[in-house]
Amino acid sequence: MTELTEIEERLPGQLKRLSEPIGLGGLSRSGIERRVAERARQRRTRARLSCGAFAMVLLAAVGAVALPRGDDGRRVVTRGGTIAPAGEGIPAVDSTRPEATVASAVEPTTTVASVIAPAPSTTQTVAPTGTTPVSTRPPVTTATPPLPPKPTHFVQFTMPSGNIGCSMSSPNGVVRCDIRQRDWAPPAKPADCMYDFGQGLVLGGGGTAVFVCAGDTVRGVGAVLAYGSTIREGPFECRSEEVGVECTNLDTGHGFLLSAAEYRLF
Amino acid sequence: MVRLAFLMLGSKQQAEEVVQDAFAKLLERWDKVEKPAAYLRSCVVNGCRTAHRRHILERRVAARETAPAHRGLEADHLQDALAALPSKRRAAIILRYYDDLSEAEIADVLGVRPGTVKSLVSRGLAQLREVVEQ
Repeated sequence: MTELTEIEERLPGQLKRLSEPIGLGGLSRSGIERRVAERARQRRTRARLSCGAFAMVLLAAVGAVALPRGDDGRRVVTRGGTIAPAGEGIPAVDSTRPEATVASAVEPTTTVASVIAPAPSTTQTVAPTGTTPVSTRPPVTTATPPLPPKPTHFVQFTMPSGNIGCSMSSPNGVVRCDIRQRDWAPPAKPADCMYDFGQGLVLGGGGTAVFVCAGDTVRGVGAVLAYGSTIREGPFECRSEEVGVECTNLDTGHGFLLSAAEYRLF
Repeated sequence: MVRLAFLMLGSKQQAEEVVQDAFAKLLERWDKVEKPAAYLRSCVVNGCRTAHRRHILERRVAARETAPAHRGLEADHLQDALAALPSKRRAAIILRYYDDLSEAEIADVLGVRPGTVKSLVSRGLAQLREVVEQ
């Protein structure tokens, strides 16, 4: 038998004694069902708002196609977002903050679908839904997990600090969050990453989250997600907290925490 | 699960909220989850770690003010000693010595390698030992 220290010998009993007074009085089936109903109501509200936002995006996309090209010959592309009236999980967009506005037809914000480190196995160019492909940008490199060829729905949000921005896509999509200023350093850039590395974290349909390898950013677009609020898209759920943003794939349990002070992959 | 969350958080109310949320998530995903018990435990542990980070400053102050001097690891001071541990070490200690999980099971809950679990438990015990010897 392995020799145990005194603490190891006493810990199991002391932990049990410490927890014994805790009963289940505050936890009930009805409480759990109420919580499920509350989460379902939040999802329905977000779905209704997303439908309205999608219609706006569609109109914006039509407008983008009709807009004249810029001096560099590139069109402006747009991505969808969600806007909620103040008091909902996602506060109304603050129009005085240009970085917090949902992408519009006149905003020269271009984003290419996120790429994922490490080494790519295939190369594909992703065209934003309902817009002309931005053919002047280099093809994006993908790796596990693979990106959906044509994501049908995007949701983007910004943390109240403005330091982190996230993009969620479904179905079978990914969730990616990029950070501007951080106190930690990412791992060394893989040799096969031809773009910027470590500016964010990305989580797909399976496996743990990985660092971003991309030439773009998902920051600067999307309404502010107030601290204490949660947003859900497909199997992904992101929660905004003062300590950072935490996104989880509810099907697998994998996810990440991202903040200026730390990051965590789980 | 509530007791597990209580050991992680030190607050019955917070523990019940975290566990209620975890059950709600499991209920929504019941048809898709292959191992409900493991999924629930992961949700509870991750929920506790998120809840703990929100109050991390308050707990550090409370732990310093209430940390006993020249006292052993009595149950009534164990909560303070646990609160002083980083959340991952605390989770590893509680899952190992309260829930009696194997290293592989703990690794699965925390999303780390089994070798890391060994290190977390070892360092957690060493930190608890320092509290005892103070």
